[in-house]
This record gives sequence, structure tokens and C-alpha cells, in this order.
Amino acid sequence: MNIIYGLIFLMAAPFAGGIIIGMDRKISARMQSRVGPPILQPFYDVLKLFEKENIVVERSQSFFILGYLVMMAFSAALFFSGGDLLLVIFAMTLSEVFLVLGAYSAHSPFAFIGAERELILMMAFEPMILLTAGGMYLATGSFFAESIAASSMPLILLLPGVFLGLFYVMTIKLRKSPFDLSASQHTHQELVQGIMTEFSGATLGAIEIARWFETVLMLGFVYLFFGFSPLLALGAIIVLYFLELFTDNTYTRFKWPLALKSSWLAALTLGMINILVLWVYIKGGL
Amino acid sequence: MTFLRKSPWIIHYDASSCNGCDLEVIACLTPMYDVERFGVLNTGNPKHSDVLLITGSVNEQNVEVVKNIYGQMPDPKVVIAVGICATSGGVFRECYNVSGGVDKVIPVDVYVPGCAARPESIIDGLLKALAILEKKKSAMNAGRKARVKS
Amino acid sequence: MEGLAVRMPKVAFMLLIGITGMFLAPFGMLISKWATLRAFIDVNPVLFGIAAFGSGMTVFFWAKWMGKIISVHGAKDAVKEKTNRDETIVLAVLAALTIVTCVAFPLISQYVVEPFVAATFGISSQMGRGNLITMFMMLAAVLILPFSVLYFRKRGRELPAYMSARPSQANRFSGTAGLEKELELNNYYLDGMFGEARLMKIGVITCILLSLFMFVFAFSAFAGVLP
Repeated sequence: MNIIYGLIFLMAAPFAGGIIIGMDRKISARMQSRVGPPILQPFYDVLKLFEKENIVVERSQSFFILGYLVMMAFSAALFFSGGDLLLVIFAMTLSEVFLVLGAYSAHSPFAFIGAERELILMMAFEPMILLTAGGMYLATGSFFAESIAASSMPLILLLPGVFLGLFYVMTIKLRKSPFDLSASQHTHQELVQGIMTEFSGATLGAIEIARWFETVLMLGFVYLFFGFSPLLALGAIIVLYFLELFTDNTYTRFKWPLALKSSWLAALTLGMINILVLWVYIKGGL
Repeated sequence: MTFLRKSPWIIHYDASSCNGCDLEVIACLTPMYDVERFGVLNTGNPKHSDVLLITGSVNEQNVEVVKNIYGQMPDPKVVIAVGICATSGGVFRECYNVSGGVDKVIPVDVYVPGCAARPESIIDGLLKALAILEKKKSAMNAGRKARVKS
Repeated sequence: MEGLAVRMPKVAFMLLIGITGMFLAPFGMLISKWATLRAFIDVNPVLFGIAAFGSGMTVFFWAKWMGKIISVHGAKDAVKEKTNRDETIVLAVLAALTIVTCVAFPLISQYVVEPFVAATFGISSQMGRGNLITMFMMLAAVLILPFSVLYFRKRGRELPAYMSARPSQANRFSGTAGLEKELELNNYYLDGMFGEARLMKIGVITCILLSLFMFVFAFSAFAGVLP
């Protein structure tokens, strides 16, 4: 485990994430025949949010959002320093539970339903990401991100089903349609920003920074599939993110039963079958 | 330099307007005028917004709602009254059921007349409001500094 | 369950400790989930899949319960807690033990669990140092975070929640025709997917089939038909 890498990425991830989201908004605008905001817009947004007055609905909500930001940063730092994938996933789940608890503590109808939907989306996402970690262990023999990234096994060829399943559920984490049920971009709002309704000012800025960490972490998982060739990985990340943007701009929001059942179906068919085949291939010595 | 100028988030409320000015406000978001290139986002949540765009002469049922939205916005904030109805009541000024303009209910910073106000005027009003927002932010900072010192 | 934190704050606090010990890393589930998943992936990937799906489900309902306890509003006046003193003592001891176990797990693992496993099964495996350090860092981060509540206590202007701009106090908002309505928030129970009626049918049928299979297997082994 390389702590230095972890710290470097910890400093760089917010900037990278912000630029990715800025380009996201620019490209989405171009898809809609508009000019779109400047690429640095997410940074302007967060800096503006830190200048606003501090408003709370419930005193404890700032503590929960601080927990969300700290644990998401910890999770990203752990991943990029090459740590155990399972611990990265557990830290990510912990940080999201903090966000959900922060929304619950506000006792507002919109935040409440947003929090329930966020939990349902977490339930939809978790099986697939754990299956990804399991599949990578079967293919490379290690749960550690540094071994998987350094391995020369073509994970994308050994785990195509897992990759497709991960692409399907990654839409949830990146908060893109059709799975942006709990909190969407300001422009596609439902339930008045859902889980983010009662946060404002610096708290909302902290949530946005945590979202940058989350985006970089998700794209890091995509990188692991192409660890044997960094150039190919970069290309794959760009293509994948563009496809996510395209899906975001073409699909409307799913209802939560459809989101949950389709994500589980993807995990069960694409993910589970891939892992079973791989397990038989590796352990059976075929 | 504050960043409020670079990223003003709007909340748009229709206080019993005929919807003409509302359509022009939404038209500002379309590809023809595209205010998002100034960083403007149309949020629906007062807690997230800096600028309140109000249309319509306010009637009795709207008075509490307008005050509530204004109260829920964090400082610094500006209010833009879009359309002649929001400015002074327009043709409905003498009616018994309307208050005759938004400034009878909450303090207004920029008035954008017109029936319906054109998107160009609305954007012009928005830019004037951003300058006022910056001044309010400096006043807020000075006030805060004064409080800390004393 | 709503309002438990107002009526019985001590019980609610200990309940929260217990719930975090059930599903949250770095409390209870950190070691259990981690060790289970690592063990299953080598032996039986179907069990790994079941654990992965189950992990998601547990997060859902435990976090939902935690949220229900945490979301309090309304009566901030202290109501005298009517819990029995014996019950409070038992709960407090259990809560303290939970925290102690979570913090002291490497010692317990090294001095209690591993010798037992080595004596019974002949082999035992240790957790890597890197993982131990990571788990401790997570635990430290989560235990230090609550001190930020002191920092946030004085900051921020309090406002009521956004109820579509209807004038509202803590739990009530003014609805149509000027009537005051009370806010009621109820959870999702996902009855359609995990409801008792539905799972009962599947469970009973599977159980009967498995029991039949078990008896057939046992008797045929006894009768010498199967080795």
C-alpha cells in the first residue's frame, strides 16, 4: 500500500472530479444545442456556496455531511493508495449512510423520501460492486487495488459481464438518468432536489466536493479493468463517461421498483454468471 | 471578488401572473438565450438559491408563500420583479384581490418592466442584480468583521 | 419508533450503538463481512453472491431504522424517561461491550479466536498489517467525527424545513383552506418485494422440498443405497 500515492490522489481528486463534472455540463449543453457554462463552473459553484450564509434545519446535519465528506475522501484515498477493494466499498457505504442520516435528521418530507430512495439505490448498487471486487480477486488472485492495477491480466476479457453490469449500476453513483431518483442535477429536479433539499451553503458545497471524490473513485474502478494498458484505460474511461452522458440526456427517470429490479437483474445475470464461469475456469483447471 | 457573480442560482416563482412573463423566464433557459452560460441554474429550492425571480401581482393567497420563500433563502439574496405586474400591479393595479406589486410584500432590488418582459430585459435585469448581490456580500462581510471586532 | 429519541433518549442512544454494530463498517460488520466475503469467494461463488445481495439489503433496512430514530422534531421539552433501572443497566453494559469489542478486535482475534481456530481446524490465517491499520484509521475517523458537533453547535441560523413554501412550524404546515395539517412520514417497507406473504410461500415450499430431500438422502444412505 502506497500512502504517498494515496495522499497525492487525495489532493488531486477534487480538482479532477470538478473538471470532469464541468466538462459533463458543457457536453450535455452542446447535446442540447446550447453553449453551456464554462468548464470551471463547478469550482465557481462550490466557492459561491461557501460564501453563503449558514442555514440549518437541524443542528446535527452539518456533522453528518462532514462525516460523508471525510469518509468519501478516505475511501478514495484508500483506493488510490492501493488498498483492499472490500474496505474501499465498505468505507463508501459508510459515507453514504452518513449522507442518508443527514437527510433524515432534517425531518422534511422531500428529504425523507429522497433518503428512502437513496437507500433503495444503495441496495441496488451494492451487489454489483461487491461482485466486481470478487471477480477481480478471482482473475488476479488479490483484493488489493495496487496488485489489480499492476497485473498484466486482461481483466476486461476475463470479466466482460461484470464490466457491463458495473457500467449499468455506475449510472446510479454518477447520479445520471435513468437512476437519478434521489438527487439529480438542479435542472432535472424531482421532489425539490430530493435528499439534498434541506442542505445549503457550506454543507451543500461539501456534498458537491464529496460527489467529485465519488466520480473519480467510480472512474478508478473502470480503470482497474484496463490496468494492463493505461492508455487503453484512459480511452475507455472517456468513452464510458460519454456513454453515461448520452444515457443521461436520452433517458427519463425510472421508478424505483424498476431501478431496483433491473439493477439486481444485471448483477444476477451479467455479474453472477460471469463469476461462476470464471470460478469454474480457474478452480476447475479447464 | 466574490463568486456569487459567477454562479447565481435562481428560484422562479409565479405569484398569480398570467404566465406570460414566466414563459419568457423559461425562454431564457432555451438554446436561443441560454443563461446557463453565465452559470445560472434554475433550482426549485429556495435554500439553494441566490436570486428570486417573481412574476405577477401578488394576490392574497400568495402573500404568505412569497414571504416564506424569501425567508427560506440564505443571505446574500436579491429579488428581481419581472414584468409590469410584479413591478406595480400592471393592468390589475386597482383590483381588490391583488397587492399591486411584489414590493408591497418583500423588498425588491431590480424591476424589469414589460408585458411580457422580453428575455433580453430579463437577462439585463439579472446582470444588474448580480452587481447588487456583490455589494450585499461586501456589506455582509463588513458587518461580520464589525461584529467579530466588537 | 418516531419520537423515541424524545421520549427515551438513553434507550435511543444505545439502540443507535447497537444498530451501527449490526451493519456499519468500522463497527460490527467490518470484520464479519470482510472475512465472510474473502472466505466465500475461494470456496463457493454462489454463497459470495448471496452475501453480496444480502449485504445491500441489510444496509437498507438498518439505515432506514436509524434514520427513523434520528429524525426527531417537535417536543424538545425533556419528558421523564420511564425505563426500568435494571433494563437500563443491561442495555448500557451491552452498548459498552459493543464499543469495546469493536476497538479491541485485533487483541481478541490474536489471543482468543486464532488459537481456537488453529486448535480445531489445524490452520489459521491472520489479517494483514495493512488491513489492520486501515481498519483502525476508519475507526479513529468515525470516533473523532462526533466531536465536530461541538463546533457546529453555535453555527448557523435555524429555519424550518421546506414544505413547498407553505408557512410551517416544526411538524405542522398550513394546508388548503387554511387548515393546519400535521406532517406524517412513513417508511418504505417494500411489501411487494420482501413482504411476509410473498416470502412465506417461497420459504415454506423450499423448506418442504429441502426436508424431503434430506429424509430421502438420509434413509437411502442408511439403507445402503447411497455411499
